Amino acid sequence: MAKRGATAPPRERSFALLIVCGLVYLFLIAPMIVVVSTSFTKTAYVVFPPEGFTLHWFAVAFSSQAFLKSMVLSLELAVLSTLCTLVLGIASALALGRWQFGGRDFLVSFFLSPILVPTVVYAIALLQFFAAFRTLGTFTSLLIAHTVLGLAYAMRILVPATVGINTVMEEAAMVLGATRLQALWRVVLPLMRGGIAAASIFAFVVSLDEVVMVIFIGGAQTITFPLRLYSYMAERFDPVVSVYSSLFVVVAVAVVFALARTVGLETVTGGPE
Amino acid sequence: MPVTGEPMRQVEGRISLWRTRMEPATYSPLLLLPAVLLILIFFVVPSLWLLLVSFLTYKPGQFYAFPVTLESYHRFVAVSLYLSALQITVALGMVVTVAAVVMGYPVAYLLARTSGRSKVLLLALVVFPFFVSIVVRTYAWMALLDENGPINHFLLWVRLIRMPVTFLNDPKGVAIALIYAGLPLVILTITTSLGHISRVLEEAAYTLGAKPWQVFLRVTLPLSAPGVIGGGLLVFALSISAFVTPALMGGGKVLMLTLLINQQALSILNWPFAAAMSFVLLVLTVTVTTLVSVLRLGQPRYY
Repeated sequence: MAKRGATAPPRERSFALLIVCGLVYLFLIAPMIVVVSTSFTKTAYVVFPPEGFTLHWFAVAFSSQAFLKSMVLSLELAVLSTLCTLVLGIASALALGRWQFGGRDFLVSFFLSPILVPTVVYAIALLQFFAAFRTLGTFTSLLIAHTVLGLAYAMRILVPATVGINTVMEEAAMVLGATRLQALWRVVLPLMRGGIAAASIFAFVVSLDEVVMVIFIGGAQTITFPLRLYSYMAERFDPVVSVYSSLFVVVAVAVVFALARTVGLETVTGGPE
Repeated sequence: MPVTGEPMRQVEGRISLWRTRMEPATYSPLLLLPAVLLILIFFVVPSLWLLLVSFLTYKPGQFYAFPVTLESYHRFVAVSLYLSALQITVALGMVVTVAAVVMGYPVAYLLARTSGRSKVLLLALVVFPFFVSIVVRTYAWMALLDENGPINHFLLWVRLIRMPVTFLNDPKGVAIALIYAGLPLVILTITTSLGHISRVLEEAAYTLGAKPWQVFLRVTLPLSAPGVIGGGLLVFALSISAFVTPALMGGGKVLMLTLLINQQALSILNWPFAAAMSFVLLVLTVTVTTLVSVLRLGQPRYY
């Protein structure tokens, strides 16, 4: 009986590859483990591995009125900008999904352009713009900025989500007597729900994590949670920072779970910071 | 039971009605209007305004004034502080890009050759840091790279160094934290590009007697070049426009362009100069990101 192949079978997952990948994964995950674990240390400074176990720093962290106010503000901002993003984004994606004129690619990149520009540059542009209208440091200005950024991320998910919908389903609903609006509400939007979920997650977390924009166009009334943490860190370096940071890590874990269940994790590719 | 009689006639009637009246099902382009207006008013107009301001004259106490001048751009080229900031920014960007590609490639290779549940898990671990605020990611590296931190302890323990290395307030620390920020992007881009490569080509090379490293160097790596270049350019654009990481980790010692823009805009209040530097940075990043899309267009079809 002849041998099927003269060559050895390709060993694509060689030992060396696994070792290298293990090290890179350590590089990726270790910082997050450090953040979470150091929030339980008994020491008054950040130390890894943490010494002892205490919830003291959690008590300190959650008794800060300033931080609690910032958390509420950040959540309000994230929820509202996500809602604005969804309304504007779904409407635009529907129009673009069945677009029959030229220039669809141009319109899509038009929506994406705010995240292709460095956030610092966009923030400076808005600083001058809002300053001219004396609306610097207002919640509304920040909401607008976050919506523009969120919309860019959302469109990248929503446009493919609408293009993929088979028109036959919608047509069938209308043949059976549904109005245009009913077909949209009961057929098209449910078919888009994966995309809509992923787009909301993106818009929400982009707003929640964002700090550059707030630094430039925010004011005393709009100190968001990440900004408060940023300013605190610039002065002090204690386990309280780890506690607040852990909250972001927990949110990120939830986001990854949710994305894995909706559109899959391959869709995650971002623009500048 | 087949539908016949009156209900069927109704349906048929509606079909013909719809055929003549409603086909094809499109949505009004007017639905785009709110979002387009939002971006026009709050992105396009402010950006053009910024371009205009960069050509205006700095007037203390008034931010900017006429007449139109090239003064800000001239200052950027003439003062060595600013040119060296540009140099540092580009140099850091290149170091970070090369390191991120070198570190990311093996993981992308592994991901492209894994499937099922383990792939989801491996992918999740790559993507997860991406969703943690950049403030927190920078903080994590500040804790790790501190002179008394775990990394210095480890390096001392294995006797790789004799004195603690200073990472904080130093370009080294900024570079490491920026690699961390860019790594997920590189890995995802290269994984996608590796996924497009037909396995038949690699198998053919094996059949013809190539050794694994020859197959990698002469088949896999060249075919994944678009992903490597695309991912690298993305990370470069991300790194040169980073603000939070150099601000916190650099402690004012690593003067990247973004920090000088911030200083001019918020402390010195020389808006024309801040605007001019912003446009230098913008031209740099837009050139790079345009290259990405041009290269993607020219991506070869893998048989």
